[in-house]
Amino acid sequence: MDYIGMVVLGIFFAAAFILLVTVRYKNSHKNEHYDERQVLVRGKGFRLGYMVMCGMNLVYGCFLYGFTKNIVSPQFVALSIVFLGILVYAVYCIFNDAYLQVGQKSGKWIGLTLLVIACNLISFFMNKEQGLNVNGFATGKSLNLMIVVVFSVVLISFIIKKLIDRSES
Amino acid sequence: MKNLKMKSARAAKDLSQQQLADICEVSRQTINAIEKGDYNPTIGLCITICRALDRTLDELFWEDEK
Repeated sequence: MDYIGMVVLGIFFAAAFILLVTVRYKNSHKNEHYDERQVLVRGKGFRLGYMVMCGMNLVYGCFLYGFTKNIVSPQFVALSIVFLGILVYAVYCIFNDAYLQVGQKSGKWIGLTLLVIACNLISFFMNKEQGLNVNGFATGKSLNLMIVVVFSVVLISFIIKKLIDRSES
Repeated sequence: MKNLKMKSARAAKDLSQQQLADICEVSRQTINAIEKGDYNPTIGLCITICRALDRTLDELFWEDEK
């Protein structure tokens, strides 16, 4: 590794360390926490997401792998199933009011989700790779697209939940 | 089963669900779920709610035999 590369690596690790220390310091001075019902809901959501992930893997491995492996990259399917499990967990928590901690504002999270979607959309359009699947492997482009889809579903769930809460109150 | 005793005790103290939730350091939805009977709180949370509403456990959470 050349000198410049080492400097860049050093700056990266220093920035990551500062970020970690800042987040830990901020969190230790906040009163945000999950209450007992939210902890229960999150546990149930995690179990549900895990079961969906296992079930989908089983279905894909037993019935779909054989005749879809030449159409869709197995690596892409495996990643999609993991994302699906995470999505089930996130959506379940959102609709049962256990995604945000007590005292957290949803606006910040909606903003963060929008930022992730925007960054991945930019990456998707800037990427020069051709197609979503090359030599049986998912391209970076397809991963960007998958992240956009997952975070869009999370964002839509957030907005629907906000509207439901507003109509209830 | 709906917890109407808790709801009326909260209303008697002129507290909204959000205000009671802030006092008890739980989410508004948790208070709502307890009042609707969708969630059975732990004894710790029951005591916190009783203290916030100046009631006893019996007054808020004891179900009379029919």
